[in-house]
Amino acid sequence: MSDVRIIGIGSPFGDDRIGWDAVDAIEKSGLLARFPPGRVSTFRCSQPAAGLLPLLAEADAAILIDAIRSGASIGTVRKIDAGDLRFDPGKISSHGLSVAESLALGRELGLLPETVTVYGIEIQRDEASAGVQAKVHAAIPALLRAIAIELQTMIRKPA
Amino acid sequence: MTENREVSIRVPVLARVEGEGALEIDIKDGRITDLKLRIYEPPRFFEKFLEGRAYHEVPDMVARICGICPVAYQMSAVHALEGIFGIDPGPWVRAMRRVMYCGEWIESHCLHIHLLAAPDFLGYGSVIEMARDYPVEVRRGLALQAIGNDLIRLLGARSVHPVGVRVGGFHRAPLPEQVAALRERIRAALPEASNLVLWTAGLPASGGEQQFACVAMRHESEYPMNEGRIVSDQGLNIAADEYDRVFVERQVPHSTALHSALEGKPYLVGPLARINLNHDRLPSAVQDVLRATSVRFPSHNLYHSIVARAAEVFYALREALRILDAYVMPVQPFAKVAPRSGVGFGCTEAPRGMLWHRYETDADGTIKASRIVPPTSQNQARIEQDLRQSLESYGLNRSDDELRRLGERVIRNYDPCISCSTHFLNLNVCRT
Repeated sequence: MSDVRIIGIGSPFGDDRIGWDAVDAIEKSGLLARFPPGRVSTFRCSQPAAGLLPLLAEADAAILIDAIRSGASIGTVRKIDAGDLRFDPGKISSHGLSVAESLALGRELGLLPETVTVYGIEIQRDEASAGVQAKVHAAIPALLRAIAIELQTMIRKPA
Repeated sequence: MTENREVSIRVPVLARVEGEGALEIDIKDGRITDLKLRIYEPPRFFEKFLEGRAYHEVPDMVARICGICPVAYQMSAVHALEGIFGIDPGPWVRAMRRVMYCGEWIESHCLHIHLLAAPDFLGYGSVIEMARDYPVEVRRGLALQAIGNDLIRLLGARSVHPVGVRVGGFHRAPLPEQVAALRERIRAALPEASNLVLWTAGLPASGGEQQFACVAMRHESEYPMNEGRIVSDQGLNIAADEYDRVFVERQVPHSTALHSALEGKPYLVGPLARINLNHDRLPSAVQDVLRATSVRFPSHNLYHSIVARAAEVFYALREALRILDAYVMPVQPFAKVAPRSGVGFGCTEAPRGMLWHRYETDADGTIKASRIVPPTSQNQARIEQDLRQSLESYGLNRSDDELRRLGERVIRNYDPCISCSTHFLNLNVCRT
């Protein structure tokens, strides 16, 4: 295992920013320093259509962090099997190739790393607003704990 | 007999187009009695947003109009404002703007060819289904698109809604090592782009020739991007500031995008119109690849648009490489700006066609008024005209499903970007 990528997916709009904020928190937490230099890197992705597949294609394993709305209480962290994500192939557009569609396309093309884990954080709103609500942000400690365990499993020889 | 049937086909949400649109067709006694391409995405009021803002805010604001072609909006805007302020940013800025625009043509065209259009030509419901049988082609498309994104990122700092452009030039110049790395990737991709042209020309292109006017820019020596006159294949030859004299925009009740007309008639903008009017400006390497296909330009078969897009991808890669091969760091990547009052016009070739801007400024550079005419609104009347002709020649006695599928395919072939609806409409517009 040589390259694990943690990719935060988001936009500047309201709670949808949580994917980027989570990556900020991971970088500041010191978590990455527990692994050999260069083993784990972080990325921010603003539009899956343009950016996600090339990032995945060059990784050996990937952890995606994105905002979700599943009906759970706000701030819930869910680990999602990439294969369980649903999409409507008829709705694909180059402006909005979604995470699920990008993963399905990547799978068909053999571009995905063996392990792709998706962490969803339940949000309330994705419209423009000042930033992420506190109760969404409160999910970050639990997310960091989950990702730390995930990385230990992925990289069996921590530094 | 099906001749006398009354048919009403409603496609409430068009799939695989950018933005929200719908198609309505009414057929009576074997004739189309009504056909509407409805664009119901809320108008985005960008022209009004810009009023009262400082000139230096405009490039970042207009980049937000479209996630796929932000560079085009930035380019038309900075040219218009520099025209007002009397600035010549010089050859370095001019060349780098061309490189950035190449990046946008590459990424936008590759996305349309592979994600939206090719599944139609090959009979798949989506690119995901198509990728099972054409993995090499889809991978090639995504790899070329990534180079386009990286060219935009080189100058814009990011590929979506780039922030590197300013009135007068760029905020910063790329480092020579960044340029060198990208240059080698482009060089390695040229054979792939050439193969892309051959592949698109071999796709099954049903549909015949239609009569329509083509409108694009034309430069005295280059394939047009940022500069040139507005020409048509019917004798039009005007400067950007004469646009209003010959092109008329009007509201139609069924769409939030304005319809444009040239001498009262629909016209085509975009890659097919551009290559029809400028194929002699393509370098011989691109012309040679086209000559190896059965497609000849000028062409009035709309399904040759995909070949035009592929040829422009090949051209844009070569053009970016040509410019970057001679890259040197500038002393300063922008010209100084001293604002003044006036009226200016910018017209450039967005991936989807001619994009016209007009700005009026105060003495301190505050925007007093703006007008933005995106390519999709110019093509809207042409799309409706094409739909009528294509459906009638296909045969209106076909099943509703067959007619609907053809209608969707005709629309997608124009790569309409309905999201780029920028106009401020009166709120008492009558909607039917």
